[in-house]
Amino acid sequence: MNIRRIGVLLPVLLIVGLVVAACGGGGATPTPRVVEVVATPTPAGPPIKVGIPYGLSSIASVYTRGAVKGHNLAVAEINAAGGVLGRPFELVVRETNLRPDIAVQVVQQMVDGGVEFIVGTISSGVAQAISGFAKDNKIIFIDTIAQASGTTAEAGHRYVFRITSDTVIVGRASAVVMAQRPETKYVTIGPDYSFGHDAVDDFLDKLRELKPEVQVVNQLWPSLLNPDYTTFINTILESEPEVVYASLWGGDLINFIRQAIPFGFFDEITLVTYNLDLDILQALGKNLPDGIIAGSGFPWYSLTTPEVTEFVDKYFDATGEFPVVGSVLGYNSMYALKAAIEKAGTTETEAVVDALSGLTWATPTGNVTIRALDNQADPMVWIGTSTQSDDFPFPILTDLVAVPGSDVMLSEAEVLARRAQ
Amino acid sequence: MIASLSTFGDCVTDGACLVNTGLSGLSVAMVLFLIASGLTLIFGVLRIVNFAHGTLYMLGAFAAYWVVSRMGGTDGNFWIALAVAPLVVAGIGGLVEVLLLRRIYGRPQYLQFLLTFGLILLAADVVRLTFGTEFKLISGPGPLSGSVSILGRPFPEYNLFLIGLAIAVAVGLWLMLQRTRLGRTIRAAASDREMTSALGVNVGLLFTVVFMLGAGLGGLGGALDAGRPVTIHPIMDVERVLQSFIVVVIGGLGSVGGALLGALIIAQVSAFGILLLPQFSAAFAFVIMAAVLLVRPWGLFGRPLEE
Amino acid sequence: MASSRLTGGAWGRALTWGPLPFLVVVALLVAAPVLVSDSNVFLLTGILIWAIFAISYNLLLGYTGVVSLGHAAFFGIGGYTVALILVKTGLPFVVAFVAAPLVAAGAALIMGALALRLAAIYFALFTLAVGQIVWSVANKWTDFTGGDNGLNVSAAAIPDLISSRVEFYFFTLVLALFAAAILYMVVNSPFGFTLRAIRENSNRVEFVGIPVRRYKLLAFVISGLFTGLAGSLLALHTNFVHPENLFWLRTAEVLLMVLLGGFHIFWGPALGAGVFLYLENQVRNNPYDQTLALTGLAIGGLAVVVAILFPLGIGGLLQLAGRMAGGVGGESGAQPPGPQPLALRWRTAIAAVRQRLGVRDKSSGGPTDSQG
Repeated sequence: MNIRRIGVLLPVLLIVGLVVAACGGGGATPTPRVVEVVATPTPAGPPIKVGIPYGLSSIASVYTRGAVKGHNLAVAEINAAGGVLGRPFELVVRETNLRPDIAVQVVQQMVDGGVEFIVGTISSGVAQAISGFAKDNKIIFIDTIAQASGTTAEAGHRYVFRITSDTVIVGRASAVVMAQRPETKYVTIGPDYSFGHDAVDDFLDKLRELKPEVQVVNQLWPSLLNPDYTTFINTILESEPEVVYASLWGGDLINFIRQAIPFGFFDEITLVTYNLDLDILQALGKNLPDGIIAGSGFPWYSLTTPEVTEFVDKYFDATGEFPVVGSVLGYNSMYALKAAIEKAGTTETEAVVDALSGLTWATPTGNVTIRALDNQADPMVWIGTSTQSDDFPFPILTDLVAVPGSDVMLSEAEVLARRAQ
Repeated sequence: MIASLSTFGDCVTDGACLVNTGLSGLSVAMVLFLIASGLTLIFGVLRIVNFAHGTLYMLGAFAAYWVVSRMGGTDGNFWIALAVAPLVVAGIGGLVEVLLLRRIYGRPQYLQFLLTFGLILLAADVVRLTFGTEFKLISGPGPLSGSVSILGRPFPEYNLFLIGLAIAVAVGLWLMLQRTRLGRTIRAAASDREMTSALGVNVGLLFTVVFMLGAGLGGLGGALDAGRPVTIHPIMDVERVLQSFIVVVIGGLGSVGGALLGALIIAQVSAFGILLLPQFSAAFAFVIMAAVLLVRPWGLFGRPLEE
Repeated sequence: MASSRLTGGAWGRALTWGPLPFLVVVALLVAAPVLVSDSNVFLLTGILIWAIFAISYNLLLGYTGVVSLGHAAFFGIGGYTVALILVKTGLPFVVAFVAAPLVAAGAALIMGALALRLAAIYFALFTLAVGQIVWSVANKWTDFTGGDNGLNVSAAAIPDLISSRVEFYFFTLVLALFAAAILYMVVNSPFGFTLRAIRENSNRVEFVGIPVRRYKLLAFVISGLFTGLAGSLLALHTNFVHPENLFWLRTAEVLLMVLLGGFHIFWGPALGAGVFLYLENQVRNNPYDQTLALTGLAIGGLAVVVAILFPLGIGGLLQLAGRMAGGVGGESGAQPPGPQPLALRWRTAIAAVRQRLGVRDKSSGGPTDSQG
C-alpha cells in the first residue's frame, strides 16, 4: 500500500515541481530571465514600450530567436546612446504560438500594459490578425518577417508597415535572374498553404512575362512539415524538368534537399529556392550541393561593406552567434522606429505614422525606404549560387546579384489595382 | 492537369518509372508501417488510443541525435544511434506505463485522452528545455548515403535499407506473435483479455512489455527518419502521427497485418496518385480513410467492436 | 444503477444547494468589468467563448458518451460563416450572426449522419478525418477563405451597441448564459435523460424502442449549433478568422478543458476552460526566458496530474470538498444524485466517486473494457 502511494506521488511531485518552475512561481510581476543581451535602460525618461510578438518555440524559432536578439542588440545600442527623445526603449517579448487568436490577445494585453508600438511577427496569418487589430485600435504595427504581399497591398492601411521584402520582391528578383538563363522547362514545389502558393505564383508570373517560352510541366504541393519527400522527388524526376523552383522553407527545405541528393537530383536539375538563409546553410553544411540558385535577405558572408562587417561583429560579440536574416530585420526595425519617432518629435501615433510613411533610414546593407502609398519597404534582396567555402564553417551564396526592392516591388499602379478589386 | 495525365501515362507504360515509383512508395510505406505497428499493438492489447505515439516517434529522433552528437557527430555513429534510440524510447515508454498509464486502466476512456494529450504538450516542452528550439539534423546514414542504379535510375541506398529493415521487423514481429509464448499471450490478450487474466497471465507485466515494444517501434521510426535525414524538432511528429492513425484505422485497430496493408495502400496511392493528381496529394490519405470507414468501419483486417 | 440515475432532477438539487452558488458566480461575472482590469475583461471574454464550446462539447462527451475529434470544424465553420457574410456580402450583422450557428449545425448534421453509424473509437477517428478535411479546405481555398492569411472582421462591421470591450463582454456573457441555460434544460429534459441512458447502455435503450442513432444525431447537431455560436463569437472577439480555429488540436484542447473541469458536472467544462486559459495566459506573460514560455509544460503537466490524481477534474475536487464540508457540492448535472442528505460523510462521498469511476476492485489492477 505504501509503496503504491509513493509510486503515485513521485511522478506527480516531479510534474508539479516542473509546472511550478515553469510558471516562475506565478508571481504578479513579470520577471523574464533575460539570457542574451540585457537591455539596461540608461536614459532618464519613462520607457517607450515596444511589443514584440513572435512564434518563438515553433518551427519558425530559428528566425524569430535571431530576430529577438537583433531587437535586443539595437535596443542596447540605442539606450546606451541616450535613447529616443531622452527615453529608453523597453521590449515586451511574447510567444504567439503562431496562432492569430492568441496573437490578438497578446497584443491587446501589450497595449493595455502601456505598449505604444507593435513590432514583429513571422506568420502571415498572425501578421494579418495583428494588422486588423492595429487598424481598429489605431496602433502602429511594423511587420518584420512575415512576407504575404496582401498585408501591405490588398489589405494595407495607414497603421501597418513592413520593413522586409514580400513574396513579390523575392519572387520577381529570382525571376529576373532566371530569365537570363537558357532553361525553359520548370517544375515548382511549395508548401500547401497561402505563402507557398503566393511565392510560386509571384515568381512564375514575372518569369513568364520576361520569358514567354517558359513551360511549367508540373506543380507539387506537399503539406507543411511533411517529413518524407521520396514520392515528390520521384515525381519531379519523372517530369524531367531543367529547373525546379521551390518555395519550401526551414526544415522542409532541408529535408527536400537532403533527400533529393541520393536520387541524383542535382546532377540533372538546377534547383532555385525562394530563400537559402543561414539556418539552411548551417544545417546542411558539407552536404549542400553547389550550384543551387537562391534568394537571401542578408548574405553577410559575401558582402564586404564596413557596415555589414561592423554589424556582424557586434552581433557575434553580443550573442556568440552569426546573424540570421531575422537578426538584421529585428535590428533594422528598431532603428526605423527610432528614426520615425525622432522625425516626429513625439511618440504620438498619428505623428509617427506620418514620419514612418516615406521614411528612409540607414541599415547595415544600405538605406531602405518605406513607400508612402502602401507602407512597404524596398530592401535589397540578393540572388546567389551555393558553394562550399573555405572561409566560413558553412557553405555560402556567391556570385551575388543584388536586386533593389524598388526595381521589383509591386508598382503603385499594381497596388491600387489590387486594392480596387 | 493534362501534363500530369501524360506523366502518369508515361510512367505506367515505362518499366523503369514503374519500378522506381513502386520502390519509392514501398520505402514510404515501410517507415509508416513501423510507426503504425507500435500504435496498433498498444491498442490491441492495452485498449489505449495512444495519442502520444507521435511523441515517442519524436523522442526516437532526438535520442538518435543525442547519441550521434555525444559520439562526435560522425556519420558512422548513426548506426549505433539506430540501435540505441529504440531502446531509450522503449525505456521511456516503460516508465510512462508503470508510473502513469497503469493508474488509469479500468477507468473511463476519457482519462486516456487527458493523459496522453497532456504528455504530448509536456514532452515537447521538456525537449525544448533539454535540446533547445532550433532544429537538429543528423549528417546522414554514413556508408548508405549513396545510391544504386535501378533500371538506369539512381535510387537511394538508405531507402532500400529502410525497406529491408522494415521487412525484417515485420517478419520478426510475425514470428514473435505466432511462435513465442509472449506472442501467444499478446494475441490472446488482444482477443479476450478477461480470459487471459483468468488463465493466470501476469497482465501487469504483459502490458508493460507491450507498451515498451510499441514505444520502441515508434522510436525506431523516429530514428530511421532522423537518418533519412529529416530535421529534428519537437513538433516533427505532426504529419507522422496523423498518417499512422490513418494507417491503423484503414488496417483495423489492433491488427499488425492490417497496419502493414494500410501503410502499403496509403504509400502506393500517394506515390502513383501524385503523378496523376499532384494538386490533391495532401488529401489522399484522409479520403482513403474516410472511404474505408464508411464501407468497412472496423478497417480491413479489424473486427467490429461492441458498441 | 442506470434507473436510479434517471430519477431525481433539478428540483431535488434545488432543495439541497439552491441556486446560490450559481447566482454568486453570475453576480461576479456581471461585476467583472468593475472588479478586474481591462486586459482581464478581454481574457474573460475569451474564457466565456471557450466555455460555450466546452459545455456544448460536453453534451456529447459527458452526457451521451460520444467522443468527437472533429468538433473544431464546427467552431471554425461558425467563425467563417459570420466573417464571410460580413466581409463578402452587404447583409446585416444579425443575419450573419444568426446564420453562423445554423450553418455549423447543418455541417454537424451531415458529419453526424455519416459518422454515427460507427462504433465509439471509429466514430472518433472518422470525425477527426472529416474535421481535417474541412481544415484543409479552409487552409487551401485561399480565394474564398483567405487561406493561411485569414480574414479580418473589421470592428466597423460590428454594431456600435456591442463594439466596446465591456459591451462585447456583456454580449458574450448574455449569450453564454443563454447557451448554458438551453443546454441545461436539454440535459435535464426527458431527451437529456435518454441521452444518459444511451451513454450507460445503448443496447438496452435501443431495445425499448428508442431510435438511439437519431437521439445521438440530435445531440450532435445541438452541440454543433452552440459550438458554431462560440466560433462566431471568437471571430468577433479577435476580429479575425483563420484555419487554426478548426485544426484538430483545437478539439483536443476543448477535450482537455472539459476533462480538467469535470465532464460529469454541468458547469465543469466552463471551469476547465477558465483554468486552462488563465493558466496559459499566466505562463505566457511570465515566460521561463525571453524566448521560451513553456505553456505546454504547465498545461500538459496539469492534465497529467488531473488524469492521475483527480480523475473527476477540478470540478470533481470542488464537489468532493463541498461534500466533505457537509453539503452536496456543485451542480451535479451529468449524473444527478437526486435528493441526498445534507451531511454526507466523506467516506461515502469518496465511495460514490469511486463507484462513478467504475473502480471496482483496486487490487485487481487489470483493465476493464471502457469502450463505453
